[in-house]
Amino acid sequence: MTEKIIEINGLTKNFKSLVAVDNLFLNVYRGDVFGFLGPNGAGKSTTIRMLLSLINPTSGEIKIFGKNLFSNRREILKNIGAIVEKPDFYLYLSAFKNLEILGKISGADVSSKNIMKILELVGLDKRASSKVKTYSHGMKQRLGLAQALLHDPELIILDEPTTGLDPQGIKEIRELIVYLSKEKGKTIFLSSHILKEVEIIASRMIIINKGKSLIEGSVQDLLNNGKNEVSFQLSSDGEIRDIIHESMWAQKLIKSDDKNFVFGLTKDEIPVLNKFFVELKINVTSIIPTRSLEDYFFKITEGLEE
Amino acid sequence: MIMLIGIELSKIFRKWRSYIGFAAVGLLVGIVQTAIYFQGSGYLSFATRSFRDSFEYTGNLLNGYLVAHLVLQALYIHIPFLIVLVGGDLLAGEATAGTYRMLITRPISRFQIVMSKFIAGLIYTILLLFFLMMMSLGVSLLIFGTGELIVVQKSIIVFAKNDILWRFFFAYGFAALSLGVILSLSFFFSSLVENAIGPIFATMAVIIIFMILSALNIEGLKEIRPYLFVTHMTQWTSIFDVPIDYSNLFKSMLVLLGHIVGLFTITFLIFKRKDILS
Amino acid sequence: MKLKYYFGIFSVCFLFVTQLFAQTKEPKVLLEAVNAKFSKVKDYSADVRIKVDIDLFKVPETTAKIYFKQPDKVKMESKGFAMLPKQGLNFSPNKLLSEKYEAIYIRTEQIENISLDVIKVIPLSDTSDVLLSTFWIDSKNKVVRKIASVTKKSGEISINMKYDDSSIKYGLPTRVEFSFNSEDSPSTSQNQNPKEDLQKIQRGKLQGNVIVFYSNYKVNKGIPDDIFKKNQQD
Repeated sequence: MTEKIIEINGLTKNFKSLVAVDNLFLNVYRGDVFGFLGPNGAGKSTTIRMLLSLINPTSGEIKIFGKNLFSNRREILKNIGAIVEKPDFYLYLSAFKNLEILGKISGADVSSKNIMKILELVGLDKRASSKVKTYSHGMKQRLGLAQALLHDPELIILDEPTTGLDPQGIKEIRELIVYLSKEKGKTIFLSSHILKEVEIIASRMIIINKGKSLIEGSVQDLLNNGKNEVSFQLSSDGEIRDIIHESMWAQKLIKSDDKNFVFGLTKDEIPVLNKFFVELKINVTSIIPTRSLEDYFFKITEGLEE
Repeated sequence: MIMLIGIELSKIFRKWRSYIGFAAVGLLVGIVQTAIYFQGSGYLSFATRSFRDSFEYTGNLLNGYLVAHLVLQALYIHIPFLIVLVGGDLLAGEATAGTYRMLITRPISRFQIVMSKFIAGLIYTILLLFFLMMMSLGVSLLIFGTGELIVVQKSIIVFAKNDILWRFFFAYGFAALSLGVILSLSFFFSSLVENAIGPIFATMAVIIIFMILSALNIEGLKEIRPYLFVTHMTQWTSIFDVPIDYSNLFKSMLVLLGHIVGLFTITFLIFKRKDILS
Repeated sequence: MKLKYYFGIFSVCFLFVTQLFAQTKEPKVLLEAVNAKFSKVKDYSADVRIKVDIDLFKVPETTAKIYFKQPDKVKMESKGFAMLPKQGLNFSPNKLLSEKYEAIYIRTEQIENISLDVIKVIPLSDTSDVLLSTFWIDSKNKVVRKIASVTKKSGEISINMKYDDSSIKYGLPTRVEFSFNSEDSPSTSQNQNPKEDLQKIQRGKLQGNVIVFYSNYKVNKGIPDDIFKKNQQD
């Protein structure tokens, strides 16, 4: 098994009577792009703040790089780059000066060559000497990435990094995350309240709500393995129900009425089943994939499910 | 640590509010100097009226020392308000700006953060005092020359030329200690909240309330005077007394130092346990 | 003013009575003799050392150079600050005698084996600060050894003068001790408020001594008037 970069065991944080994080367990492995998914107020930020020692846990254990965070705080933080919520900087200083200050404290190479290289990576090199107060939100978000990367950390923790960005900005950030993971081999811990975002870039994920872990695993598995519900609308002169019941697909049928048959399928099985119907002269009027994860997550975010 | 202090200082000196203190001191001292330059004999005749009738006197009493002493007397109560502008912002300013998160997720301990900020604040305080000294003592000596210093406090004292400068240095040192308490107090308030305005006004309020309490001549209130740091701050005047009541002076210095250490310790303990939610 | 008026009436009555019975010497003659002797000093300069010991009023020991020229030009010069009671510059009773006054002879006293004539002098001018002065006159040397005055502004002032063999020729003292004693001076009052004490001091109510040592007299050497022109006090 690959090395655990983050290991959270039974983490709990109470704010007076409010339980923000409730006995949370999770593991992030080296090379993961780990999606930390949950609706707003699920406890994502509180967890991330605890990972970065901004908040003291009420109980539980956090290990990063195999070491206890609280007894090895400085050593661990040296190897973490992070954006927590919105990226805030010293507005009265230039982007360059901000990076210089933050980099110095992190023990990064703060030569102007290196700072400019990072600024170029996030596309801010031309505005390096502008005061941050003149920056747009998107620019600050990118500067946030720059400060997280400046000291070349092993683990990058990004808290909702695409919030407030335009589609182009979102695309750029996603590409950058993929680049950091694939090309630079960084482990990335990415929180989001948007399933699609996690689906696109994450390799593994966890969904939490009300501070509790609901589901954890590989994104691929969670999205594909029997979890997708596909509704086929069919019409035929023959007895469709009988045909299905006599075939191998019977066991995948979840529910049905006269015309609509809902199957639990992997992505690969959808065209196969389609072909099966077509060959039997059954008209397929529509195929509607209703992924259960999405449904599930949607229900959570809408607060429909406890 | 030195690097952190340097960073904190550069943050302080890149904020325009940090220059309010310098501008105010420069302006006030300039006004006092101008006024004395043109109308100084008025003050002097007040100071010398006790002996003008029965004594002949000679010498330059209207000199740089007199101006520096007047300025110190006039500004001693007010410089704290200038220090508060910076002290109240030290921690809360980071909370307001959200930069706490950037700072605390760095590989430095919270003690280092608090300590470096506090030391940077102290350096600012000392620099402001040094500026006051250069403006009020240095520049005044250039404009008005030297001479004996006449001080009207509990008694009228004329200090010999060679008996003055060390008193000023002592007084500025004592002032540094007093302002250190103000800084510590505003720093303490600064650790409690996430907005610099609160600590600034809270500290000012404490100073004003303590000043009123220590000035009111009511029997019951006299009892609490020794417990108000403001009372000890005003002890600097005894440096310009003959003889200097060293035991009282050192006691006050110790009390002030105790305040600084105490307030810093409390601030650190609060900050260490603080959950950063900003 | 009223007080002075009554005091004046009382004094005149007192003078009248005492003149009838006790007059053995003519006080004005004694005073004039002193004045005549001093007027032989056309000018002088001297070095002074001044020790001030007055309650609530602390001044370091200072030195200065003083100049005097008849009739009333005085000048004090010092590298730094120096203060000297005004009577410490001009020892001539000239000023007193130039205005109307009444003088009465009281008695003869022996002090330190010197026979002194005690004379009371009452200035008659309303503008005079002095209400009553007592002079102890060394008639043999024609010098004043002691003056005790009651003043309006400063309470009681007494001046003790000491001479050495050479200075006495000119009537110039080598040591003068001024004693100030104000009726409601801080040290005699029971006032608990130090601010009020200070205000009294500031009104010139002094309590304490000033001792002035004179040395290096240069008498009748001629002093140019220029010296008295420039005033350092401003």
